[in-house]
Order: sequence, then C-alpha cells, then structure tokens
Amino acid sequence: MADNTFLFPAIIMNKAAISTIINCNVITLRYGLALSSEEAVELVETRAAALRSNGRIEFGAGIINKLILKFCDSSFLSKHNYAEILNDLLETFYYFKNETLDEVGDDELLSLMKKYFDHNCQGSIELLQHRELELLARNIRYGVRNYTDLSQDSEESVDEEDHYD
Amino acid sequence: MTNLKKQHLIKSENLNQTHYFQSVLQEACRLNLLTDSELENIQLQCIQLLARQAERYTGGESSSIMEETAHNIFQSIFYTVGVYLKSLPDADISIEILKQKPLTELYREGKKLVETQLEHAKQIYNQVQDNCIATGNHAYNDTLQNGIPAFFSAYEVDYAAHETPASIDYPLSSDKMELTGIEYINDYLQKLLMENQFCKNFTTHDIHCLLHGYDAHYQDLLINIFGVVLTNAIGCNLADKSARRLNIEPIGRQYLQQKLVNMTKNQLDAILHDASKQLFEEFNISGGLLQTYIAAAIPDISPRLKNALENKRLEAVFISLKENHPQPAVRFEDGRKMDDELFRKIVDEIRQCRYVSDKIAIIRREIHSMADLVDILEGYCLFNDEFSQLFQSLGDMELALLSKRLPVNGAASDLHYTENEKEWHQRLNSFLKEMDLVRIGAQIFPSQ
Repeated sequence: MADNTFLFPAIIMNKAAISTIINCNVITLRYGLALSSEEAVELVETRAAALRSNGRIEFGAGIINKLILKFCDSSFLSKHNYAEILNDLLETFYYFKNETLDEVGDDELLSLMKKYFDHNCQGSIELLQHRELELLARNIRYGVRNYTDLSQDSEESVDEEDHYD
Repeated sequence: MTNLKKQHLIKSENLNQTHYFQSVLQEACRLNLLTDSELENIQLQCIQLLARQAERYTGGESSSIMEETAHNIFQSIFYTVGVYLKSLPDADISIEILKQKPLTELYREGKKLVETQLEHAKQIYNQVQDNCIATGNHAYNDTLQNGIPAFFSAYEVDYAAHETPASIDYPLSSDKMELTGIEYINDYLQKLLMENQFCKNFTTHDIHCLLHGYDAHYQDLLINIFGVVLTNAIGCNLADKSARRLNIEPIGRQYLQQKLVNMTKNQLDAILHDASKQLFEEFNISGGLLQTYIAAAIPDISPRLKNALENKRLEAVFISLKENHPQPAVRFEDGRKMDDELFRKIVDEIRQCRYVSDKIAIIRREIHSMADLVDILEGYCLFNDEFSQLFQSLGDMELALLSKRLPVNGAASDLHYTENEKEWHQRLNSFLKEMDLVRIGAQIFPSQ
C-alpha cells in the first residue's frame, strides 16, 4: 500500500520540477548559463536516481532550483561544464545529507558546498566530495562544536576517533 | 424478528486491527465501494499529509528525508487515521467519511483521540499502581515499574503513534497482541487493572503460597498471576469449598478427579462457567467487563483440565498452597583490614614471641579481618605445629571461611600459589582431615 502511494505523484512532480528548472534560466542567463529541456530532464532523472540510491524521499519543489540559483554565480561554472557539474553537485548533496545525519539543513549545506567549491576546492568536485565534505561529515558525526571550521578539524576529530576505537 | 442485524458491506472480521486504515481501503476496493479516482484522491491526500508532517519533522529545514523516517511518519499517519475510523460505528460509514471529508480532518480527529487515549492510559496506570499485587514476580514488577513508564516518556503522537516503545514482559491472561501504540497500552492496562482487582479478593500471603506451590522459582517465571489464582479459585468452587483461601488439598484433587474424569469437553466448559458464576456471587463481582474477562479465560482452562484429568495429573492445574520457609542464610561481614604500619608492628610482635600461646593471644586480640588473618598465616609468623594450634583456637565460622580459600583442585593449581600460601593450605587441609567429622559435617559445612 505504502509503496504504491509513493509512486503515484512522481510524474506530476517531475513535470513541475522540469518547468522550475527551465524558469531558472531567466536568472542564470545573466551569467551566461542555461539548461536545455533535455538537460533539465537529465537533472530530474539524476535527482530521482540519487534519491533512490541514498534511500531518501523528497517533497515539494525540492532543492534543484535552490542549487542552480546558489551556484550560478560561481566563477568555476561555464556553459561547457554547467550541466555536468549541476548533476554531480546534486548527487553530492543527497549523499552528504545522509552522511551528515540530517543535522545540517538544506540551505546551510548548499551554502557550505558553494563556499568550499569556490574557495577551498577551486571548482574541483572531487576535492569537494572527498576532502571538504568528508571532513564536514566527520566533524558532525563526532560532535565537533564548530563543525564548519575544517582547518582545525583533522587533529581534533582524529583524536576522538582514536578515543572511540 | 427482533434479532435482525444490520448487514454491513465491509465485514469487521476481514479488517486488520494493526493496519486498520489500509485494510478498510483494501476491502473497499475489493468490494468496488471506491472508484479508482476516489482511491487516487485519498492516496494523493496521504502524500500531501506526509509532506506536511515531514516538513514539520525537519522544522522546514530539509526538503528530503530518509526513507525509513518517511515510512515511519507514513505509518504513524495511517495509524492515527485508523484510530479515528475505528471510533466510527462501522466500516461502511468509514468509507463514506473518507469520500466526504478531507484526510487532514480525519487525521486531526484521530490525533485528538490518540491524545485522549494517552491521558486515559496515564490515569489507568495510576489506578493499576494503587491496586498492584505485592508479589516477588520480577516480570510483573519490572513491567509495572519500568516498562510502562518508559512508554509514556518515549511515545510520539506526531511521528510514531503506531510504535509501542515499552518493555512489557508480563503476560496477561488474554493479550491483544495485534494492537499497537497507545491502543495496545490502553488495552493492556485496562486488563491488568481488572486482573489486579480480581486478585485483591485474596490475601498477598495466599497468592504467594499459591505461586510458590506452582513453582518454587515463580519469581523468575513469565506467568500470569491472575490465571493461576482464577484456576484455583474455580477449583475450590468445584470441590465445594470456599474460594477465598485458594487452597486445594490432595484429597480435594482426588474428589475432583472422580467428579470430572468422565465429563466431555462441553460438560467441562459448562461446569467451569457455572463455577465462575459462583465466584461472581462469592466475591461480589458485578462489573460486566471483569465478568466477561473471567469468562474469556475459561476456554484456556478447560483443555488443560481435560488433559490433566486424562493423565491423572490434576496437581498441575489445581495447586496446593505451599508455605515458604526461608532457608537460614549465613551472612558474613568482614572486619576492617588494618593499615600496613600497624600490621607490620603486630607481625614483629608475634615473631618475637617465644610461646605459641602468646602468638595466638596476640592474633585473637589484634586481628579482626579475614584478610589480615590470611596475611598473618603467610607472613612467617607461625611455624610447624603452631599452625594446628592456631586452627584449634579458631571458631567454626573462621575455619569455614579459611577453608573456602583453599584451592579447589589441589595440586593442579599449585603453580598459582606462593610457598607460604601452599604451606598454610597444606596445614589447614591436614588439620581438617584430623578434625572431628561431626563438627565438620554439622557446623563448618552445613550446606553439604
């Protein structure tokens, strides 16, 4: 029963999400970025796959438009890599929602991703995934109070890890 | 004609009490009482309600939640709506209500009912505590003192109304395990209250003796006290005795064996029901609920009784009270171990003594703990026969405590002891062997 009810609104929700993504082009065009309708469909499919593989369920408008508007002014995005990076960022986002134990809200996680992407990682998705966000997630799991400060993290959290071992 | 009953389209026996809302929908679809579009509308409303609850759950900070969380919230919504639907006169009306009213309204009504039931359960719990049986049964006491209060502090009406976060070990005479959440706790507490009220007709001492007769270790068993008490009370009535003392002597069982052995199952059922009615009169049981509850316990007693009669083992059903004579327990409290400096002084003093009698006098005067006594034995204070003379001067209790420190498996554990330890072990062993056997058997090792 429960599974059937989950399946039903997916088509309606996807249509709404695609039109929201296309509407974002009005703003992103200021930065020379735009998504075609095929790319919008791909993004929605990526979202569905990422949600499924991370065991999550999304309601309402979701975070695709927030992600687009947050990252569109990044100097590391161009029309050549825009769609690809958006897909990667979307997957990363859901993965780290789980890894941070849902302790970080959508807006805060997006802001942190943007900050690390633009500064610490200099536009590298790999560094963002495997270094900055891993450290962030570990800080949160070990209860580090100032978890966004990744610079002083390594020693403190490793100590705690040893402590738990 | 007066016995005509209204026929319902949805039969209540086809509905699942655990997943009531879902089973109502399933039955309605099966009987074509809901069209596809009506079902889709209800499903869509469920999703909207889930989305709203999920938003509340995350405090509006997250647009997605983990599947497990969503599943839990969904179950909670179904459960809460189900509680409301159960409060309606029948399932046919539920379908009409589902078609007419928005699901959010049904959920709101259900939540009010859950909250009312929660308050009600707390009140019953207080009554149960006031009426509880003073017993040593751990499952009973633990469920009452820890299991149920844990539920009240952990129960979540909004997101996990269907869960029963309580540790309930004590089995009831008839437990509705298909219920969950507050419905289960409410049902459990109401039944427990009735069981306690019935058991209050008997003295704590009699109940204790009855349970002790049932099993010497009844404290550790998962037994239903009410069931044992009720069975014996009925047995007393069958044996034409007052049920108030609960006791059924062997002669009473012989009488019952002769009286009941040739009866069919139906006859046994009837005679047990009659006996239970006598109990209602004897104990002034006028509450319809308790009467029904007792009547519901009879079908469990009857096959057990039939089986016991056939095997001539009636003592397994109708129990004789057994007084509990506590075994005299020996409890030893050691004295305080003296500090090292004082101990060294005493050891020096003992070593300087020429006669063993002086040594013994000092030991008896100064040493007040077993640990110190053992240290003296291992501290080069006594030599050769002096050991046996010291042992001779010790009391039975001291010797018994010293003998407990002897290695159990003799030579096999030799490696673990120092030479000094081995020496006094040997001396004490040979001393005990030469001792008066009567003294050893009767006083030093009473348990053997």
